[in-house]
Amino acid sequence: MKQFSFNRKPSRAFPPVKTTRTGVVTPMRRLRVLYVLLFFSAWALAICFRLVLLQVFEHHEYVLRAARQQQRTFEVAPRRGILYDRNLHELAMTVLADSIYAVPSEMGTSKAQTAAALAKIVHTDPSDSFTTEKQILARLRDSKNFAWVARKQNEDVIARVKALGLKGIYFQKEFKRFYPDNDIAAQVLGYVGLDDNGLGGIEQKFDRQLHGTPGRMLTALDARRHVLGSEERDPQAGDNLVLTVDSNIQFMAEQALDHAMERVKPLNGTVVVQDPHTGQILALAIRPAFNPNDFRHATRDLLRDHAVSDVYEPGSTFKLVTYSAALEEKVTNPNQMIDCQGGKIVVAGRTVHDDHYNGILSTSQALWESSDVAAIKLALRMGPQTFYKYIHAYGFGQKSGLEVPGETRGLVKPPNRWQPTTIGSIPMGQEIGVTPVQLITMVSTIANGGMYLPPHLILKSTDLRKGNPQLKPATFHPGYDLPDPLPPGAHRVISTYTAAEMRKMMQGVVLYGTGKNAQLNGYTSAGKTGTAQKIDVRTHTYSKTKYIASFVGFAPVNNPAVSIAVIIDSPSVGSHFGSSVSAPVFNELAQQVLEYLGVPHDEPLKTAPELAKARKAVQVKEVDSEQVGDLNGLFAEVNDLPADDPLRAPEHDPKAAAPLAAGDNTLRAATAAPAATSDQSSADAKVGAPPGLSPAPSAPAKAPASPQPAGEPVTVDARRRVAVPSVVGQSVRAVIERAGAVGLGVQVLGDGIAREQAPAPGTMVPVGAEIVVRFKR
Amino acid sequence: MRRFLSFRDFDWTLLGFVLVLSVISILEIYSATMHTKFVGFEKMQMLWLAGGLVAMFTLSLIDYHRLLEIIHWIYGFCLVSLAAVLVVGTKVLGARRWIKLPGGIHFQPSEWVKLVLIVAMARYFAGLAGKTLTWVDVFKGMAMVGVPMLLVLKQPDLGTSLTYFPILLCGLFLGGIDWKKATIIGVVSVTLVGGIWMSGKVLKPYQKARLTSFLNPDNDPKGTGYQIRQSLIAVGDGGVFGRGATKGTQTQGDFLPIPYTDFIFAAFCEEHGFVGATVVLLLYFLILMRLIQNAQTASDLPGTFLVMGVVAVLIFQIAVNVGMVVGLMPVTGIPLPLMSYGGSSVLFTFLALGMVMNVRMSRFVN
Repeated sequence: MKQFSFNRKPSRAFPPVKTTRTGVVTPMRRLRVLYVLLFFSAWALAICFRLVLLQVFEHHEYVLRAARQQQRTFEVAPRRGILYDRNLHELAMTVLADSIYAVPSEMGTSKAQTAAALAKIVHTDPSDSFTTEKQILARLRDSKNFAWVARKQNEDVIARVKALGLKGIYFQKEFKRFYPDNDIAAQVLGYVGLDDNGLGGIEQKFDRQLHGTPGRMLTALDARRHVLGSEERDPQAGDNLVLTVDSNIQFMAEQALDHAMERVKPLNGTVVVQDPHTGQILALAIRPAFNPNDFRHATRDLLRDHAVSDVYEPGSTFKLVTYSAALEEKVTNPNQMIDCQGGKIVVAGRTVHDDHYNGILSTSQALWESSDVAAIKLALRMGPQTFYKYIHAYGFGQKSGLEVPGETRGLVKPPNRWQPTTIGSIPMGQEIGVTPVQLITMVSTIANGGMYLPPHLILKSTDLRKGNPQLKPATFHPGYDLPDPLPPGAHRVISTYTAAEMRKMMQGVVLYGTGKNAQLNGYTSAGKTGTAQKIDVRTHTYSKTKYIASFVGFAPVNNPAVSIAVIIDSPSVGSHFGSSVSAPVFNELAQQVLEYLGVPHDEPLKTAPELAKARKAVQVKEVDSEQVGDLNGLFAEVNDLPADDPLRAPEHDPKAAAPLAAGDNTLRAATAAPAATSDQSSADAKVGAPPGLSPAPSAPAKAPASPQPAGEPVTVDARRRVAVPSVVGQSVRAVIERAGAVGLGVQVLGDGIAREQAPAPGTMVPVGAEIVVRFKR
Repeated sequence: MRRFLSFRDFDWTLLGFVLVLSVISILEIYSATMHTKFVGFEKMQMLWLAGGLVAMFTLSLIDYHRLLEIIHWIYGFCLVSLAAVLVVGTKVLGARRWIKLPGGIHFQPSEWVKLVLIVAMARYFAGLAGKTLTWVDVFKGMAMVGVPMLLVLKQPDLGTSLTYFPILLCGLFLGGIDWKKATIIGVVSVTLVGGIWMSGKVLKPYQKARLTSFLNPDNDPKGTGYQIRQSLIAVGDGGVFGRGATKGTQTQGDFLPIPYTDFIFAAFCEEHGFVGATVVLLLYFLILMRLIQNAQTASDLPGTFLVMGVVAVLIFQIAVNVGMVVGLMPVTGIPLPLMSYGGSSVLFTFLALGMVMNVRMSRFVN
């Protein structure tokens, strides 16, 4: 130290620079320099220990922590299965659409402006609360890393958003359900929500199958949530379903229904077309409809599948059950005379009136005229137990099992709970609640020869997990035979013979009775009208202004290709009768469908003037009568329904209903038609009886063009048998005409010229029987 | 006095270690920026290195005694420019650190002040050599470092101002302060720092939060704690051998904050593991050993002080930066010398090395 000269009192902060050469640093300083080195070494050692701790002992924990923040497991949405119609035309498919999302942390402080700018573009629909500016902003503020802005937008919107070039806005492809035909069969198909969840119709019922299995994706992310990595397990697409619906027939049904909607402006309308030989539903049209591509605008009411979830009192259409049961039980036959007692009968103290005077009619005529009295008398002959057996056998009071959600079983009381007057109501379709699908299945049972076949909407499905079976179109060809083996749930209700008799009688309804509007051009047809007063659910009384006009039927008569039910709820313009409101829908639809299906004509085609004349002739007198049935009892049935039955919705709560208004027996019937034969639909209030009918004698005149041996339905009796004509060598059409002329049906095998026939010409067979003819080219 | 300098006496070994570390730095900068918008920074760093080498060689030719002679003028100029920054400086991210000079050059005086302080301290404490430091001597030294420190703290630039501190420490320590005074100073500073901390006047809340969050990073997972957590995950994720160059998920995935500057050591640890980290620490150790040897063989006392001043600053920066990366020190924004990207940092380091070289080359010159 001493070797340095220094100034004891440095006058400045910087003393003069010393350049004294000192080769050696003093020991103290050397020591202190080593301290510095020691300090650094100690520190380095500490760092090394720390590194060993972090990188060796806690390594795995940090690897996990890194993975946790860098990797995400995503569900990869599977592609939802396609819904096909039976010709493999897509009814619902899945397409890719862009969704817009935001990474709010990248937006900085501009969230409010961004939300405003986005909402201006994506909020195109005022009823869509998801894309309001407020909601978008709320989501942006809610999350740091991810927020949906708008999902599954169309290309135009996406392009405009992209053009804005906003910070932190990204796009992602998502699957979107697309219904190429928009509102075609909307209520049957249903729709899916934003997350691919089925929310109605088949989409809901088969959601699990259609949805498929989500894949899993293990993704490496960076700090800004950009995806760096890739997929682990592929999603499994949902099963494709093939519906029994034929979209062409569906379209025709909707078109015919639309015409009726315009014509009579009802609350709603339902048309069901069924293949009577398989029970498959070919079309199920409901109006008003909604567009499942834009389901946000669909109200709860629009989404309702009226065909299975609504019950109504069927009215006179239900007489088909009564009459077929009576025939099967042999308590009558088509020609047995029934005294309609002038259109008035007293059951357990309650008087039921026909719409008009009816004298003594044959059973057939009674059906044509829709006599309530006759129906009641037939039911009385059978007794409640027997009658109920048939009601049950036809499927009423049970779920049909149609593959749509929200089906009700309807309202049917077992006989032990019948009131004394009930036997006077149910035979004419009152005090009983049925769904359109139940009704058409009953009609198909008669049409196919007496076999109840459960209705179906699903033809088949692909199960992708078991390979991918190639789907083939299953074009609908009208069948002649029942399926063999019979499907589960099928059972015989009436004999083929009874069914044939019923078909004849129902043809009479169209030819001579209340259903003349259902006469087709070139085809025979059969059916039954019904006009039911609607039930006011609040008061449990029959409405005097609201009616349900229905028509059920099939065509051609001898080998029905399709059965059709038309139910129009509360027509508000013009007539409210099934004969004038619903039968024309049947007419328009059946004509188109039969021609579309290439069903051979079994009647000569009418010329234009003949058609006009026929139309003019069909002017139905409309009369109705009202009587009060035991509605409270019917409503009480609701309590027996399963908890999930759509009928148990609050508004149907019987407790909320006021007691039944007492007797309100307005009888207007008899005043109407003096013409003896017509018997109006039964009096029960709700069932406005079917329409008027023309006097029997005039029938041939009213069905002018028909060159058919008018006799058929009339000349029953002893001459029930006819000789089989010889048809070999003739064309299909000629054979059908020839056979039809004598009241025989033809089962056509092959095409071309008739080569063989059975039975042989000259054989005596019952009218209405079918002869089998083999054709070859 | 005519002096003869020979590059034979240049410390080539030291330069070799420095260059190895610089190459490692460039490779890591490349890896850490390859997927970011800073891609290509390794080329910039190469340019800075080239500039730094030129500056180093140039400075190594200038006799450090000349610097010592004029240092009071430079010191004065530094104080003026630091004050000027506070008045006319360009404000970037809330801090006035730069002066915009004509020609678009941004000048950040606080970096150069480090160098100037090293020289000034060397002159002051070498001048006091041989005597026992009085309180007046101590306070003068403190004021010399304290004034620029406060000016920089005012910018505010906590990190840079802290780097001045080891220069003072080094001066006092090597200047021969006795243990009694050292203890008193220590106690008083602790009390003072505690007082400042509690008063909340000098340090802004964000600075305080930054300084404490390393103790419990999970309390503040989104702020400074986030950086520490990500750094720890990166280091721990590296394991013994690392994930491999350009394969660090923390680094490449943008989780690690600024992996090419302040957290470059974390990025390096993730990609090269404990082995790589040890190699880097060893290189630093060798460089410091070499520097200390140069200090001890300096021909005169100011030379020793100069070199030790450089050593002090480097040790401080390395200790604080690496300590921060492994979660032992607060986040202060001090770069890692010779590793972190950045022109100022490179230039300072190489100019400092240039001075050291000159001290070494002057060993046998008279």
